[in-house]
Amino acid sequence: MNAAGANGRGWVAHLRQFVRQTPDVRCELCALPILPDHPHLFEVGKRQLYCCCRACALLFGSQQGAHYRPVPRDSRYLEGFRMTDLQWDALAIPIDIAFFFHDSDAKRVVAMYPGPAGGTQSALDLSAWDGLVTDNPVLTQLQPDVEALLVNRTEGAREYYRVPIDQCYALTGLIRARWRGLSGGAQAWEAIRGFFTALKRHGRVPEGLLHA
Amino acid sequence: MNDARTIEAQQRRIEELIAALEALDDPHAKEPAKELLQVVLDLHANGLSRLMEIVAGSGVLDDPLTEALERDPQVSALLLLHGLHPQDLPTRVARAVEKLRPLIGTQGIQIELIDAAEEAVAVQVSGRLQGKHNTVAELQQEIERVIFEAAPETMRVEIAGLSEMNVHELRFVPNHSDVTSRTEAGGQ
Repeated sequence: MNAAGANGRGWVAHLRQFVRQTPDVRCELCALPILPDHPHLFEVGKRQLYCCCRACALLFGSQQGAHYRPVPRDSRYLEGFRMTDLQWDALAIPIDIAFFFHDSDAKRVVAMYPGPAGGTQSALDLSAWDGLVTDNPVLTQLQPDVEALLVNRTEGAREYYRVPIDQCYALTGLIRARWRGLSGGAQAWEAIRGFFTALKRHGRVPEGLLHA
Repeated sequence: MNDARTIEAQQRRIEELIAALEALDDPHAKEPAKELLQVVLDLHANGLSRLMEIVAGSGVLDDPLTEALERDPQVSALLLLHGLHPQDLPTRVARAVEKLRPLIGTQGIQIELIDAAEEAVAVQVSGRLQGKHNTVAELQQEIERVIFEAAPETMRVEIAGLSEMNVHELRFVPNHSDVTSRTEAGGQ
């Protein structure tokens, strides 16, 4: 009954660490090797996300008047979110997935949507957004820059999530890596379905799904 | 040999072989071995991940089936290895702590889960260790064993409150030096 490794690690941790090519990912602040499910910090001045270790995330993410802001960890499925097809159409997003967040630099809400070439930003009709906020006060609670409203209308779905911004980029990356041809192909669509199923069930997407 | 024992033996062998490979100084020997392992792991991860997608997509992945997969030690070990287990790490660790509660409760110990992540699982213990055959080191080993079993992808288990643990006066004296050295070795 020895599930623990030689120096205390679980056997899976031990095996994964052994095969991991020489430090895969390092903390971008202190250069310590980090795990695939590391936290992220948002640098306000440069509008950039950094991969970091938990210690740096705690240290730099909790300072007052901060240079860095922590990206929250968990997502939430927004039960009872209200958005009509008309409201969606008014936002003029060309595809069925998009995420919206407050850009503190531009001082406005922006929409991004994933595509085969990565994320594309869309100019947003702000009056359409304001109507959405009136109907769904939860949107006022989104933290600027680091939290987003993720809308999934693929295959007839009408799902709304409050998500950390890094999960939006994870979804964008997942789509870019698998999209084939014009319609995406079966693999891309299964990955999209898997992403939203995991997000709805666990409030987070397991690492295995993003890398597989 | 039953399934659980086979898996245990395999896990032990994996640990031994990794240790042997890590001890090699020659990168020309180590790197191809690492890469071979990585490629074979990726092959399995991709195939299993597709398998799970196909099963889920066919609509037959209901709760009884998920539970059956989880209960099977061999299937469960593979799903854990490839990050495809239907229960996420915090859920599995929380269950492990609930499993530990009555086991160590009879020894006079309370346990609380503080945090569960791949980097570390943190628990807090309190109480007064009872029974002359129970040592702090045994308690530590038992907690680590149960948590690592449920979450083998975690790097370490941090047990707060072990050093303040009161050991019953009837403790066995020859065990005492044993306790100190094992606790120190395990605490690194």
